[in-house]
Amino acid sequence: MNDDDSKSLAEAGTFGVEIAFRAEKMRKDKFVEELGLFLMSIAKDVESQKGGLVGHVKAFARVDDGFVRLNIVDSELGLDIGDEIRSKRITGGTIKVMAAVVGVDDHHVEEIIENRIEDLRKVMHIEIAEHEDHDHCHEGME
Amino acid sequence: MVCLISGFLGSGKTTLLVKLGKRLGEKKKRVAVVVNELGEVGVDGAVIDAYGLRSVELTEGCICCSLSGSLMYTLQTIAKEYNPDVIFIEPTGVALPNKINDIVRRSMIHAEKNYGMVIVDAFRAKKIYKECELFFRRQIEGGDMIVINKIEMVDEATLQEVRELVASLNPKATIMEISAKEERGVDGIADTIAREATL
Repeated sequence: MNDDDSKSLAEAGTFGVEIAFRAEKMRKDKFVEELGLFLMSIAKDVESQKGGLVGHVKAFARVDDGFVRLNIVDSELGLDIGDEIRSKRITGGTIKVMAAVVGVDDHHVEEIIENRIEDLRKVMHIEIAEHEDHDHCHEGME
Repeated sequence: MVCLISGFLGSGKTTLLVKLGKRLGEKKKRVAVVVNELGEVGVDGAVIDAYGLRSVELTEGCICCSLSGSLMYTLQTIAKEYNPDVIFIEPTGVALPNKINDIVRRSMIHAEKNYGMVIVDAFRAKKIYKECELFFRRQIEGGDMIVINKIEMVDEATLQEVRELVASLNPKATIMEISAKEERGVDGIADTIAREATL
């Protein structure tokens, strides 16, 4: 057993990204709901690839007047949401999203999240705020 | 005092840490947090800061291996500049507590106490043990206290199975049962840490 890299030892794949978004005075409840659907779709994609989610998918959004955090460890259990947004309408902010899961490699986790960000673009204007372009070696990566 | 809050991905480390930090603040303890995420963008540091705690986030690696030097430097800086009563370390969900304990000892910050708790998700413990047995075992073995979290999600029979599992893996550890989400059992852990930090 190689203790030098605990991530490899756990066979875990991870990816995180920060996105900036703008919305046209979206209702707060609608925003939280859309963020929840976004996370749930990531979790379900992982489950369909791996046969189950062992790990978690989580997000933190900072908006005009507060923040909301969401976490999911099992799609059947649903979302754990901590909503501290005081305003009724959302116009913009930032969202950090990350997933760390066992049995799916980094590249596939990244691919799943980026695909689902494309879905999120249908309901809000999104810019990727922070993601370094790594030298991925996607072909035959294991 | 350095308090390591480890545990598998999604076990509830951040939720517990925020609630412990709040309680220790109410007890006039100076609290600092070092939080670690594997990816280049972390979520936990933002959550911890949003709830009013003071955190340093180390990203893009694991503090028990690739970022061990960063952890040592961060601990030294916090100890020198902030002089907290308690430094919480929240590693990634795939960190090995024994390795971090070694790094804390080598950091020469003269923390009188080094206390390790491992959070276990009562609902998923058996599943994680089945999927990642060796890894789960190594995490449990590294704790002074095993905190069985999310007890609100399981029945008594399941909870008993989890108790027996963790006790078999680490017979010497103290076992606590909590619901961080519902704030059940959190006061007992905060009291233990406050007491240990005072001794």
